[in-house]
Amino acid sequence: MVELTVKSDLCTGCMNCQTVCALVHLGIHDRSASAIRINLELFSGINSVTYCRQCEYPMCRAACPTEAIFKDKHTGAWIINYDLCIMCGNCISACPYGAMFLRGKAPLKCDLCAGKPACAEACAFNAITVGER
Amino acid sequence: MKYGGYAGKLLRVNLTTGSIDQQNTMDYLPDWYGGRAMAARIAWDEIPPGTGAFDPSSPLIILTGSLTGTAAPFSGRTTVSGISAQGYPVEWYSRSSFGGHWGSELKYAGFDGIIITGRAASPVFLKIENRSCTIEDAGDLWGMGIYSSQKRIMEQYGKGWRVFSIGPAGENRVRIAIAATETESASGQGGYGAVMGSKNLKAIAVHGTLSLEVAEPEKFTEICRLVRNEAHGSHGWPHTEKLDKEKVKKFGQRYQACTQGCAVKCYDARFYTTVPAVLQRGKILSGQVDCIAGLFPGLQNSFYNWKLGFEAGFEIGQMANDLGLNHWEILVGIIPWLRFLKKDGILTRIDGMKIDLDSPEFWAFLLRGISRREGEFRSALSEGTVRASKILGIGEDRVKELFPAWGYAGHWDGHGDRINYVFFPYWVVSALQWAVDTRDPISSAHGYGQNIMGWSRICSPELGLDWERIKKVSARVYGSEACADPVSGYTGKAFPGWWHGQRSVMKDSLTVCDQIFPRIYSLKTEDNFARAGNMEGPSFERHMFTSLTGIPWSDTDLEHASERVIQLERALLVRNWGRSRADDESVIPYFEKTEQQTNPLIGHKIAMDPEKFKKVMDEYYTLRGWEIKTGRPTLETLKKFSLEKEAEELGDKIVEKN
Repeated sequence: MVELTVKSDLCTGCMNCQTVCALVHLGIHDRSASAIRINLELFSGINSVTYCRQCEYPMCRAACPTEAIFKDKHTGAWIINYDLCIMCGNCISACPYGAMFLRGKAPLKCDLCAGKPACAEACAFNAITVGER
Repeated sequence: MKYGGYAGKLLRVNLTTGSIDQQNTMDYLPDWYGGRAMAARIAWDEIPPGTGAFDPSSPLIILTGSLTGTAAPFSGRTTVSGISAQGYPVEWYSRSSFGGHWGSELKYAGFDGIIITGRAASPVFLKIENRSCTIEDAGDLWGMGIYSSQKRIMEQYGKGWRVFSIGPAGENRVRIAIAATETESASGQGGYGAVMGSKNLKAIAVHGTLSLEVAEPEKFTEICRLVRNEAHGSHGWPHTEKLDKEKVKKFGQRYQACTQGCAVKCYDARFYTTVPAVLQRGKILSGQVDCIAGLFPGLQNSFYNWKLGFEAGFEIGQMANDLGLNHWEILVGIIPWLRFLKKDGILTRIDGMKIDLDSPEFWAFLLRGISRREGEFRSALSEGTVRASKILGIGEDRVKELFPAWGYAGHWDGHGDRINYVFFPYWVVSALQWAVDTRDPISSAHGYGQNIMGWSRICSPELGLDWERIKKVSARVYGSEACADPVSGYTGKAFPGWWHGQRSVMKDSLTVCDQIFPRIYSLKTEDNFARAGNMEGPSFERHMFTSLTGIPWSDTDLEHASERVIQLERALLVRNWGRSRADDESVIPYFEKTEQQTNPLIGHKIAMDPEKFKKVMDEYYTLRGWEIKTGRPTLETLKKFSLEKEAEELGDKIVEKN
C-alpha cells in the first residue's frame, strides 16, 4: 500500500508534479489531465496543493451511483472504472478536498501511478513524498 | 501541429489599427526553432534600417520556446526582443528574457508568442485566452505599479491568470524600465518596459487550458527525469543551497521557483513571506529576491557597505520591481556611479536631497523620481546612467569604469562593478562576449566565467573542484585544457567565447534556465563531468528538444541552427547599424583597467593587453567566419548558413571571404 504525503509549505511552485502527472498518464502537457494541482500564491509565496488522500472511506465512492470507483489492492489507490462511469459528476461534488477533477465530461483522479507516483519523483523539494501505508 | 511542444500559433497585434491576426508557428520551424532564434528571423524581415525603439512600427517580439510550459526541467522562460531603449550609443536590436509562469500560460492559451506593433490611442492591455485575444482598456491600470496591476487583473479574471506588466517607469519611457510578472521575474535589461509604455500597452494577461503534444512521450519523460535528477549546484556554489536559519525564522525565507520547472535549490533565488516594512510602517511584505536584488540591504566590509539593513533593503528592492526599474542598472550602475561622484567631491545632493545610502528615504526618493522623471538629476538618470552622465555633463570617466559598452553596467567581467568574482584569464572570454554583443552578454552566457569560478575551490572551498579537475572536464567541452587553465593567459580563450555564443542562443530559444545549462561540471560523477543515463551534460538540451518536438536534430544540427542565429543577428546589425570591428573594440578601454580580483596562481592584478586581446578577437572572427578586418560575416559564411538572400541584401558591406 502506497501513501502520498504532501507538505504544501515546501512547495516551490515549480509545477513539475503537475506537468509530469499529465505526461505520464496521457503523454501530453495539459493541466486538465493532471490529478494533482498546484494553487500558486504568487504574492504571499505560500502555495497549496490539491491532491487525492485515497481516503479510507472515500466520499467519491459513496457518491457514485454505479460503483465505478474501486480499490487497487496492490497500491491502495481508488481507481475509476470508466466502463462503469456514467459521468454524473457526483464524485466531483462529493470530494471534500476538491481532488476529483473534471476533464471534458469525465472525472479524473489520482491513481498513484501503479505504486510509483510520478509527482513525488519529480518533486525536488520533498513537498511530495511516498511512503508505505 | 507537426512538431511536439509548440502551441502552433503566433499572435500578431497592431495596436494602432487594433488588428489581431494569428500566424502559424510552422512558418518559422524547424530552422528558427523558438525564442531568440525565431525573433532574429522576424527582426531581419521586419525591422528596417532607421527604426527607433519608440517608433510605433518597432515590433516588440515576445516568444517562448518548444520546451516552455512542458515537463522539461528549468524551462519556463520567455524571451523579449526588439529595438532596445537602453541600447547605447544607438537604440538597436537586442534581447531580454524573464521567468515565472507567464510563458507557460501563454502556451496553454494556444500561442508560442506575440509580435506587437503600433501604438494604442490610449492605455490598453491584451487579454489572451484559449486562442483568442482582445484589446482591453487599461485606463484604470495606468499609473499602477507592476504588482498592483497584476493583482487587479487577477481579481477581475481569476487567480489562474498570469500577467506581464509595466509600472510607472515603463509608462514614462524610462530607458531602464522593466516589464515583469509575479514579484521578481523581469525582462530586466534592454528597456523593453519603456517600449511597451511607448505603445500604450500596460500589460498582457494570459490564461489557457489547452494542451501541448509530445513527439515521444516515454522517451521525453525519461530524459526529463534524468536531467532533473542530475541538475545541482546551479553554476557552482553547491554549498549555498541551504536556507539561512535566521532568515527562515525572522522573515519566512523559503525556496520558490523563479521559473516554472525549476528543480534545484538555486543559490540565486529565495522567497520571503513576512518582512516588516520600514517605509510603509506597519505593513508586512512578501516577495522573491533573486540574484543581484540580494545586494539591496548592503554588504558589510565591501564596496557595498551601506547599512540599509535587510528589511529596508528588501522593501526598496520590491519597490524597484513595482515601479518597474531595472535592478542591475540601479545596483551595478547608478549606485556605484553616485558613490564615485560623491567620493570625487562632484556632488553631495541630488535634486535637493543629500546622498545617503544608509537611508531608505533617500533610496525611495531616488527610485520614485527616476520612474516618474522628476527633478533634473533623477530625470537624467531615467535615461540610464550612460546617457545621464552626458546630459548632466558629469562623471563620464567614472561611467567608463563601470560600463563596458552598449549602455550596460559590468557583468561577470572582473572589472567595474566589483561583485562578479572572475579573475584573469577567465574575463578574457567575458571581454570577447561583451565585444560582439549588443548588451551585457552574460545574462545568457554565465556558462563560462561564472561556471568555472563557482565550481572552483576559490568560490566553493569545501565542495568545489581543483584546477586540474576543472581543466580536464572543460577539455572535454572545449577541446583543450588551456581553455579553462587558470594560468593560460590569452591562449584558448576564443573557442569558449565562440562555443558559449551558440549555447546562449540555445538557452534563449528552447527556452531553459541560464544558471543551470549547459551542464558541464558535476559532483555526481567520478570524473566530475556531468552526465545522466547515456547523455553527456552538454547534450541534455538537445535530447529534451528532439524527444519533445520530433525534430530529428543531432547535437551538431542544434548547434549549427543556434550559430545561424548569431550570423543573422550580426548581419542585421551590419545592415541596420553598420556594426563593425571598430565597434567591438570599443569595449577594450574598460578592460585595460586593472581587474578587481586577483588570481592566486598569478599573485597580482592584471589589466588587459589590447594587442593580445585583439589576437583573440582575430581567432574568434576566424571561428565565426567573420572578416578579420571588419568583423562582418563573409559571403562564404552566410552561404554556409544558408543565408544567401541576406548576403545579397548586405551587398558590398561584406567581402567574399577572409
